[in-house]
Amino acid sequence: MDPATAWEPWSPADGDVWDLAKVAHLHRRAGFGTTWKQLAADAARTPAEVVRGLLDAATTTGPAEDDSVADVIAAGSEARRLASWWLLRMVRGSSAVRERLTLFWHGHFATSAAKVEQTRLMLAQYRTLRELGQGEFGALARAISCDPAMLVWLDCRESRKAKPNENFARELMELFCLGLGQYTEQDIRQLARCFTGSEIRYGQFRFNSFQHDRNEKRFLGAAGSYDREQAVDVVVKHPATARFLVHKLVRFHVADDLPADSPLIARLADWYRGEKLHTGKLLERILASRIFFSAEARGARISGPVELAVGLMRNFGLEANMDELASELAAIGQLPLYPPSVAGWEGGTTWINAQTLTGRANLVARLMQASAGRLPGAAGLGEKDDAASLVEGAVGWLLAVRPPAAVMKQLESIAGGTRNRSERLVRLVSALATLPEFHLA
Amino acid sequence: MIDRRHFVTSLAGSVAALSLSGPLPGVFARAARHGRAGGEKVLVVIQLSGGNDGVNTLVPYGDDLYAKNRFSLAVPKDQVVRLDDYAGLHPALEPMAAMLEADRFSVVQGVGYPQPNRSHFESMDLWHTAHQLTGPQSTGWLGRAAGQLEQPGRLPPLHLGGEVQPLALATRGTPATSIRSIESFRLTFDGDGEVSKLLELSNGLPRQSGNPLLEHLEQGVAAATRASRRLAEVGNTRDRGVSYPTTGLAGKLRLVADLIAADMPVRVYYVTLDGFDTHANQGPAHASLLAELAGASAAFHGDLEKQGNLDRVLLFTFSEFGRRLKENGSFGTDHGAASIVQLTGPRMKSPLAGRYPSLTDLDEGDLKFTVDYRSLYATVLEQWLGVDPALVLDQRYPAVDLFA
Repeated sequence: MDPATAWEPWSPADGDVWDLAKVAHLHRRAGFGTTWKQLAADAARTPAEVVRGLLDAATTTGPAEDDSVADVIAAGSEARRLASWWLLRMVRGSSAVRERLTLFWHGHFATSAAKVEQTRLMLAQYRTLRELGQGEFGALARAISCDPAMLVWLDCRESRKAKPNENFARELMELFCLGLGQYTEQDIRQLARCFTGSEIRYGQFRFNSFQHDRNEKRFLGAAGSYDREQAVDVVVKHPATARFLVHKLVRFHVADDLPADSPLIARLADWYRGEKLHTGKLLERILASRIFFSAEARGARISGPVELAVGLMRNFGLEANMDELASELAAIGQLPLYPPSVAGWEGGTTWINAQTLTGRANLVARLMQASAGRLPGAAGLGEKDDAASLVEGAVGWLLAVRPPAAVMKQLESIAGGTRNRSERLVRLVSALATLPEFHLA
Repeated sequence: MIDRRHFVTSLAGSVAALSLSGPLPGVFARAARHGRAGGEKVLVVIQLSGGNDGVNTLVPYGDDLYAKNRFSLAVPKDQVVRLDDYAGLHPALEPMAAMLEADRFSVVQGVGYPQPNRSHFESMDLWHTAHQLTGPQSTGWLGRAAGQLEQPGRLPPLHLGGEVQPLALATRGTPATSIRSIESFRLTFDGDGEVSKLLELSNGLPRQSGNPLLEHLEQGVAAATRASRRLAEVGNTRDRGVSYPTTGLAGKLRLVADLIAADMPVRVYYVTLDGFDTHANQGPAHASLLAELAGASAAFHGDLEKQGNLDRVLLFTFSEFGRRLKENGSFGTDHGAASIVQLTGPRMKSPLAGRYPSLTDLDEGDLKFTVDYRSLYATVLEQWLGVDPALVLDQRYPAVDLFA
């Protein structure tokens, strides 16, 4: 696709219409999917309206945004319960877009409760990511540079003038902003001096001015007596930052395999810089773009475990024991708040192997069965209620890519018979989850 | 991304194995008949957590200083399973006698590293990472090895047990999986066999979509189907005429044996046995742990022998450190340094490898190492897993002469 026009807004045309499949694609990638009814309603609006609506919802609050339960959990010592709580908010929250973007930032600034241990620090970091994730990246990066959970995680409880701790400086450049190959070991040492004086005391960030190195530092071609925030700004303003972030966000929303050096990335990164690295604006541009709605982008991602489970629950309006769900997600490779390393989840094809595929199918079947016949999100699906229209409807709604015709026929026999409608749907969706197509997003 | 050539080969293989109909190229037909992915070598690591007392596991009975330092805990000379005229095994390891007689057992003596760390966590981290960068970026030696072993259709290392996944398996690539039971490889909801029918049909229809992600998924589903079918077959012949003790470790090794019998495409398995931090009243507790280890290992090897897999499975048993030579005032022992590593399975050169550390030349009361554990890693990587040690460890280490 031509980089000059790929990121321009898409509008329907002959042979490239705004249909249920495109609406479903948008909901899967922007959030975690949506109910059948919502799909039909959105098909009657324009794509731009729907994208705008999704992003606007990101600033509204509802019952699931009430923070008091999280405060109660954070006062305890079971961080795993905070993961369960967050999963529930992803399922019930008024803005799937916002929680999904927060999940993205959590994977980016990956911090694990396994080491941080203090639940309230994990909650505070989650709130920072959620609060600032849709704004300018610089503000988010500055907040992370004094985030207690992050500094505990990176062994940076203290950095003294005489012995600067280099961990945060290294990760800021390697994993959070620039990517490998954009800086030298010398840059790391110089940048680390800007962060001296940072301390974590009783779970709070504190700046100890006596331990801060006020002399000139030289890194990334800049020179000055930078303090922590100024230094973060120097790194954030480096051209590699926009490219690095755009690549990661495009992988998360458009295609797993898009190479970092693609002209498509360079083009969008230039635009992002012009918008002062405002991520909300970037997200809107991506989600409304021609490339996003192109055939190439359809099914060009593998859904992560959280997307898979939360998506299913949001689609069908399911309820579940979230602690149990958290354990099941851990077994298939992604428990929120417990990323495997500071590099986050690699994603893409690494989600998939013989064991995780079986685990994913079993998880889908269990969630569907636990519904005990209550599938409010599927209301209106398969109007004629016969097997063929149930299969046709479910595949269009839930799958990015259609299975072969012979497989569709076999699915009809699974979705048929004399059982009641919800039992047939449970059987159908469980069977769908064993197919390769089901795991594409 | 998937290597195309490998992908096509393994996909063809899996289709052949599943459908078993129509003319097949010879090699695939053979693979399907034998139901075997090539009989590759497998490494099973047993981690003894807490710091196993190497001195009372491989007893230096020939040295009077042993009994002097272990005034209450010394194993009487006449109870030691003698390996030579200096060292022998704790009697609780008796069940390993068959392996010993078959030259399939070797203890490496004096294994450790310079400047020993006596913290459980830190020393275990060192063993897990092989002394490479610690912190949130850390990867484990087996995680890095797995990166080199990665092939389409192959599963990453498998950790069996409910505890947190050991750092040894940490990787930046395909994550290792932890499972508690064999059910992790079985669909739980196919009561009437409709889903199996669907999968058989679906797996026989290559999509030719041009989407590499879908190809990866097709291959994963085919591998999952194969795994669950093989496990079902193993289930039918579950009683391979081998009985396992009822201990936790035996349960885990039984599961590993089931997976090996089903020819799962896994090269590395990892299990742990906890409880070796014997600061007080060590005698009976340690004996019972060793009995659990030996009973489970012996049953495992018996099972593998029946399967015809004894030669291709290496059991590697280690602990984060040994314990102090002199026992403490509570009939126990405190954290030490150099210790032993046990290797069992294939034919070994000798029941004893390396040199027993001196009982007089000590480092703050602890045995000094004579074999760097990274030499053992390098040997296992190169000679067993076929991985270049330089890609996993930070430098070259001399190999240890282990395998016959």
